[in-house]
Amino acid sequence: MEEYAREPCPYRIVDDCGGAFAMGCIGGGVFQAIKGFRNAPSGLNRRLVGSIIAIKTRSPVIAGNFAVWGGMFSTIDCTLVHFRKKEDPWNSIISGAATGGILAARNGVPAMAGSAIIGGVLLALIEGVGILFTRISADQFKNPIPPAEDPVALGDPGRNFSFESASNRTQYQ
Amino acid sequence: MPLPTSSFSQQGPTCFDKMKTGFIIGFCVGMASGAVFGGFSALRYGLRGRELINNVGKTMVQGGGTFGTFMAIGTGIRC
Repeated sequence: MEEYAREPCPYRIVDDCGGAFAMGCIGGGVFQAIKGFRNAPSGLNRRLVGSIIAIKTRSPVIAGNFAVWGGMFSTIDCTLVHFRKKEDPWNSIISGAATGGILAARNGVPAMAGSAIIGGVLLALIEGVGILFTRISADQFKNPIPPAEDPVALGDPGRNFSFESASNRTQYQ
Repeated sequence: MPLPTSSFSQQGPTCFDKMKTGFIIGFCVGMASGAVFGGFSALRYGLRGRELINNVGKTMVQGGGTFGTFMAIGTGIRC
């Protein structure tokens, strides 16, 4: 059973940046296709053209935003791994808050604080739901106690032996 | 974040199964974030009672749908 594991730390930055770009490109394409289709003039042909134009126009912008966020997040995450010498959910939460704050720097300090809070809360929710799902999956693998190991089913060997001794005694008499 | 597998079979889950699990996790995260941020902004506008519940519920479903879609796509890319 192969499961996806993230790359070790210097290569994780490039891997996450590219993955975020691809995710933003495809996801943005899906949503912009729907939005462009709905905003176009009536007629199926013109709606399809509007859909394609919207994808071409806005999908790269969305993908770029995703890539910047993913790259910044992984860079800070790797920095924290390097200095703290451990990997745990707090790295992700701190990285999310720091990324939100840094990328809102042009808008001033209050906007930075707000974006940092939003980033931290969002990553905390992601980690929380991930941990919850891991626990649920682990519970499904728990096997029931096998009946052979139940002490009650084995009976008392002393009483069995005593019963046999009594039976032998009867035969001798 | 490593993705937990939802089935314990020798062949392992297919790509589509992994995407479904990704969508479910993303939907839960989106619902939770929609509840937090939607509730915060709705309370700032002074919504109460039924109007508050309707507005926050709508924000939760929207957030869940959007985040679930992106998470499913991300899982599909890495599959």
